[in-house]
Amino acid sequence: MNLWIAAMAALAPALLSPDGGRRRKVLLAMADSAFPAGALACGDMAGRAALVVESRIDGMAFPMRIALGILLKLFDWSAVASCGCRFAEASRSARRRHESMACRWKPIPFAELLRLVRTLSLMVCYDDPGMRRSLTYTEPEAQR
Amino acid sequence: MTQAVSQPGARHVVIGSGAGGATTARLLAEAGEEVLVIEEGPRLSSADFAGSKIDLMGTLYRDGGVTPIFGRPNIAFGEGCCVGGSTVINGALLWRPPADLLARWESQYGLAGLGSAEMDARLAWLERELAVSVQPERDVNRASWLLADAAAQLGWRSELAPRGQRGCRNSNRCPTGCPTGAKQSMLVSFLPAAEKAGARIVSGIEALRLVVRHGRAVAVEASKGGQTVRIDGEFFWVCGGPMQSPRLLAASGIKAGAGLGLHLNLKVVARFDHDLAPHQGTIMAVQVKEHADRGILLGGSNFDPVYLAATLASHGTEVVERVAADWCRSSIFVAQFKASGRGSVGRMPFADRPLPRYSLTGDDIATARLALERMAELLFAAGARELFLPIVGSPPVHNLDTARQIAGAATAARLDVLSVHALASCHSALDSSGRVRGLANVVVNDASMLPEAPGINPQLTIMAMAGRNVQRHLESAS
Repeated sequence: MNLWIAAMAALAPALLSPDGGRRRKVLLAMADSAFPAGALACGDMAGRAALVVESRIDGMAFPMRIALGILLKLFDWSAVASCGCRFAEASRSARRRHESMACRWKPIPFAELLRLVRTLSLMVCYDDPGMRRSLTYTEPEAQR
Repeated sequence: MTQAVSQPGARHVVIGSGAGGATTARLLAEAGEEVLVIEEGPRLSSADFAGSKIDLMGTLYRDGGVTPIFGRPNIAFGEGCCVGGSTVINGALLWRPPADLLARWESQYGLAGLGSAEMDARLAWLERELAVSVQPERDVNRASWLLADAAAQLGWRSELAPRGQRGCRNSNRCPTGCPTGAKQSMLVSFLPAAEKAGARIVSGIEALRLVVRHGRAVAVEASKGGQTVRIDGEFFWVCGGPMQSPRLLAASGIKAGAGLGLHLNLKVVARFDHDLAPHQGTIMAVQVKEHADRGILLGGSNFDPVYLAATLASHGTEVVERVAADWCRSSIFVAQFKASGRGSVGRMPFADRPLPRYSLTGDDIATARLALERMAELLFAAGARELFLPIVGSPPVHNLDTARQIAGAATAARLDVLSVHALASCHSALDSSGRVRGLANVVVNDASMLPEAPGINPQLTIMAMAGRNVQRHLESAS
């Protein structure tokens, strides 16, 4: 088990508390950090986000999957370096590593992968019934 | 090498069950032919479409709706992968191909009969069968009316959109399947009709390659539950869609995949001062066609917090949370334009998967900038207070001058582009009846057989062209 997963597992009791708002905030922070793998340790909703992202990625083109695998490895490292904070706030050395890898793998669209993971994480978050209730969003069909 | 297990075949094997495949299957079956349809994706019913949108996207779409088209920028392409194909997840917009477009295709590409009364009659039949009509005005949602009113104010042309629906209940779930069965997707229209006429439909079978002997296809090799199966037939109708059909032909030793055409989508979120109830009423009921001569169409897009979050994702979570918190005042709009260049669908190295490629041309970037400027003009005329443009790293926009500046400076790398219409990727390998050159008993009969992107929602064009090819086949066989 890598350090990031271990750190998240240690935080799991707090994340699994009935306070849905807090869990949502964690997931949103993950959307910002575009880091779904760590979400596996974070309870139902975040875990679902990770599974959705991973299942989408399973169907993705082969080089994209390889790229994402590498990317997630890199995020493991940078996320530990930044104590789970947002990727944008990750340490300079971590960012330099990303940039050098991105250069080496120039044909692989890292920025798009980040955007994809962020988008999917947000979609899962806003698909959550608790979140929709908090927004007072009611399905049109249900109003009939 | 593992021996393929034989699976019962048919005289006609139709590979794929979307707009092209379902039309092919129905017309052949109703002509008394023996038909088997094989479909890679699952078969669901309308009742299955009421669940979680994100789960349904994983079930109904290929790659969960984000097949990448590689290029500059990379484009997220969405297509259906289920019984009924993309007709299950589209907006049911069924525009007739303009007569001048068909006449041009006839003369430019040698596609005889496109400008004929017979084609006109076929389109009229399709419109009747799919119950094509404009939505009753009382059902049209407020965002669509805002667009129509703003267009009138600017002196721009707009139209109520024709949709294939019977008693739409405005459940606003078109992209994840209609839970009421009102949308006339192939799942509830042409495929049941084909079955009634004797066609068999088997889901969960992915065609891998055609087995070719002495210049004729004799079988299709497919994967079913991890097992390789062989399905024999006399005629093969390749209807796997714009990505899978060229992949199947290439896997069968036939050169295809050049000339990929696309419609490109740019989504804009607009915030207003007043409550729009953006989830109520028919969403895609109005199209602003003032700039259709530049290939630009402006309209509304489906609304849900999920889609709102996805559309705003590149603006950061803070923006997503702020806009979602009073979602009633926001709506999502889309500018669609026809790509000016041609891409390709190759094969992924070391994997039997399509590798689509397209990079925006200089003309595309100019059209994208113009489309965003016009959309901003329209939305500010409609009373919008804040716009979020699909340009990575762009700030919220509060007036037209700033929108023009930002849109005018957009580069290919920063544009956030989607597509749900890919076409023409097999045309170069086909004769004028859709037959694969060098394989007389294989016809490509889906979006990939069109000669180019039509510039309108293409379902009706695909179905009409598929019907034409079936008719020509039946005439030549009799």
